[in-house]
Amino acid sequence: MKEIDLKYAKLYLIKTQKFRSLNIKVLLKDEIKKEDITKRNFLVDYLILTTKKYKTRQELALKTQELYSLYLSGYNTRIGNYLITKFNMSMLDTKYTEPSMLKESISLLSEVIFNPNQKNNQFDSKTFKIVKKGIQTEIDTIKENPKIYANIRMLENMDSNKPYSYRGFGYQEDLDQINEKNLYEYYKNFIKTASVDIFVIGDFDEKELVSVIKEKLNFKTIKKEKRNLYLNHNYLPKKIKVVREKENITQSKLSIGCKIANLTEFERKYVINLYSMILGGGFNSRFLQIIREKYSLAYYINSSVLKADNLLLIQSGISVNNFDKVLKCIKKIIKDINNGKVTFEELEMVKSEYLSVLDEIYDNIDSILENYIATVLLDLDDLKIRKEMIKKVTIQDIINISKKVYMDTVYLLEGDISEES
Amino acid sequence: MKKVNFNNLDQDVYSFTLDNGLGVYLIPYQDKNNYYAVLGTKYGSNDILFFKDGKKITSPYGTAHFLEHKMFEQEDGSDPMKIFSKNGASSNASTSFSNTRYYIWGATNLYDNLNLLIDLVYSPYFTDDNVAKEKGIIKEEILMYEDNPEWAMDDNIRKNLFYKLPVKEKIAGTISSIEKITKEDLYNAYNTFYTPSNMYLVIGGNINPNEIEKFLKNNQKLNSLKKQEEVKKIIYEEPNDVKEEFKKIYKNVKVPKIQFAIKINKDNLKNFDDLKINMYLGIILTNLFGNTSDFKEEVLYNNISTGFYEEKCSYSNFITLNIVGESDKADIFVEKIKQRFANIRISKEEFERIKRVWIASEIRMIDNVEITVDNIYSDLIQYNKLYDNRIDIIKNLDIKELKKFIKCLDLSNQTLVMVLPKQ
Repeated sequence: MKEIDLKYAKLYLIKTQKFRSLNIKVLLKDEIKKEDITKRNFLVDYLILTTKKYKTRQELALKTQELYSLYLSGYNTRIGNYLITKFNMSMLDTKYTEPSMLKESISLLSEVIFNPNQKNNQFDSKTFKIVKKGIQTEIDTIKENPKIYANIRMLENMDSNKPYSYRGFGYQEDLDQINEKNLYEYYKNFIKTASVDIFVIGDFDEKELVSVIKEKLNFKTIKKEKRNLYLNHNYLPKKIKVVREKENITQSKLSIGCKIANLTEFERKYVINLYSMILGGGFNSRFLQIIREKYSLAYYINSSVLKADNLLLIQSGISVNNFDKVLKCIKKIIKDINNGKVTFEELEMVKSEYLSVLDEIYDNIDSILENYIATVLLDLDDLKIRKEMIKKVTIQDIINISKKVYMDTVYLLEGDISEES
Repeated sequence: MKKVNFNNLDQDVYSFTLDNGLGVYLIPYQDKNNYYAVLGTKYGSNDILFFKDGKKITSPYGTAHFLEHKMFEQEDGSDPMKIFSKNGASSNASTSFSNTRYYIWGATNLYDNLNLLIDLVYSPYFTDDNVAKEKGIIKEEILMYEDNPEWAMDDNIRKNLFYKLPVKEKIAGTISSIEKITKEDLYNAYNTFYTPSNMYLVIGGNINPNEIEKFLKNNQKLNSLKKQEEVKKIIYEEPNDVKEEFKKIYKNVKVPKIQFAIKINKDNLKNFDDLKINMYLGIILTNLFGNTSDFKEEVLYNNISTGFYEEKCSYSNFITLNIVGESDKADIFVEKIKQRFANIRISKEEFERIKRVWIASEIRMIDNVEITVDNIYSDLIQYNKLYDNRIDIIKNLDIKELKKFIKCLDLSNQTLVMVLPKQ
């Protein structure tokens, strides 16, 4: 990967002939504020739907098809303390289309970011209404995916002041405040204050590409100080908080949040992933082997790590009357590792699983790009180094890290079982 | 071994059939780390009735899926998933209405892992105990989908659509049907459908076709299997019309959802081959309801629906066209959908644009090993052959033929499922 400082942005180039397309991701990041989430979602949905030149959704869609089915998308994602807006573009390599397509495609991306559909400092109210309705629906339908809802409620119960508990699709009270005028104001400010990273992968001519990007993706960013992306905990749990809420659902959803604290750099980069995999990272994990295979108590139960949040999450779908049994099993499994019951065999197995996940990254254009983004944002090592370092993790490392993981909140979204629908 | 150039895009596909009847397709890539292999059988949840040794067998709903869950069970109690993991591979399996597939992917130890996959799929071991144990797990799997309104709609739309086809039930079956499943049910189905001549093996990625051919031809397990006569599938006498035209269900939703479906019997389109039927229906759906359609524009801008998508499904010799969406003016939305289907007009310009988009996506697709392998596997399951020249086929699609096709099309068999908020 080559890094170029454009003054207003960092440009990262990955030149490869392995793929038949060229992808660009533009990242606009700033520190997350709870009250910004809804606005930012609204903004991105609006920008990706209409531009000054292509005024309706249909016109813009027709234009992308004309450019040999250009893919354009935009969405927001939170990583630690940052709210990141991502604009993605994927075009066919020009050898399958026409040489002019590079510039034309980037021009359309530029149009989406820099030339929104506004008049007299207001966004277009017709499109504004569609976007508003869409976001309203997202907020309204939050409970339709009980698995995600249980996870949100767990995090809110853990600490409602921390960014990890913020609802990614926004809040009703914020939505009510947004109008065509203040959203455009927000846009104007956001586009010049967010810090910008641009990632490109494909078989490009560097000189040509850089000149097109300088011309078409020219942000007028005011540079800001870099903030810490990682979230740290103010306090660690003295005892586990158990919350049960009833909902009109069939299968109960269990969501457990554990705080992770005081990791060394090596632990943060390597050991925590392997620890989580031993717990609930796949079919061979302890959760699945014991809770599913031995006791038939669940179909799925997994654990995952939110690195930037210093959290480990455990999720499962269970019958309500098995709740105590499942929770006891989970605690026992965690305690066993804490007490040193880790085998060489299972550590080697998760290492091998992890290494093959890393190997897979090279084969897919988007995963290569996403991997570089994560490397930059989370300050990770290069893939080659990562592969070597993973091999160095020992049983003792796993036992040590298990003592730095504290079960904090156990949340059950309780349903009542009905036999047949 | 036969070699063809896939879509004229510098990508070869090799194929051959083993003596036992197993069809093998190999897609070697120049610059990938990983391999991805799928071994599958033309046996899915729809095949609950079948002939075995001349006798008609009826198995409970959900048997194919249950069998898939038990396929990796080993007589010596060893855990194959652990061996795959140690060998740097992952594995999984899935059951659909028409087929069951087992797949592995990884970057190292291809031959050990392939060997294990073949051993597992061709060494069934079902006991009363291991069958009983699985029931609790599958019950939780069925319950997991219960609260998802989209799944509930799709389950109900199939119940509305079909009188006889077993696809009217869920792939996993019901909590009461899986209770009835015994190890005999699993063996009966296994011995009928898991014969190599009813199966395909497709491998892509970082592989050497000549070595794989040699490996497969020398594989003891594969050599021990005899070629058997073709599986005789039961033809269900499914009427053209829909069983129920309408159903309301109540779920935990705030905005009502609808699924509208049209049932089409492919036997009524005898002048067109299967692939053409699928392509033309795809063009019609995209034109009527796709991203650039006037319909989408009108419905979204007039606040009739907040979002919807169009989808084509295949069930045995039937195809269904579906519109799935959200709307708090569901009656108006459905009326608009019906009107749109009643009035199909495709301009030459639109027709050519859709073709261009499809060609672009064929080119993109080849970069992805998993998608390419899955698509080739799906062709084999659905059409019993590989279409290695889809781009040419798309280029040669003809608007005059499409117009003839539209004239033959009967879109009158319609059904609707609505999901409304629980009180």
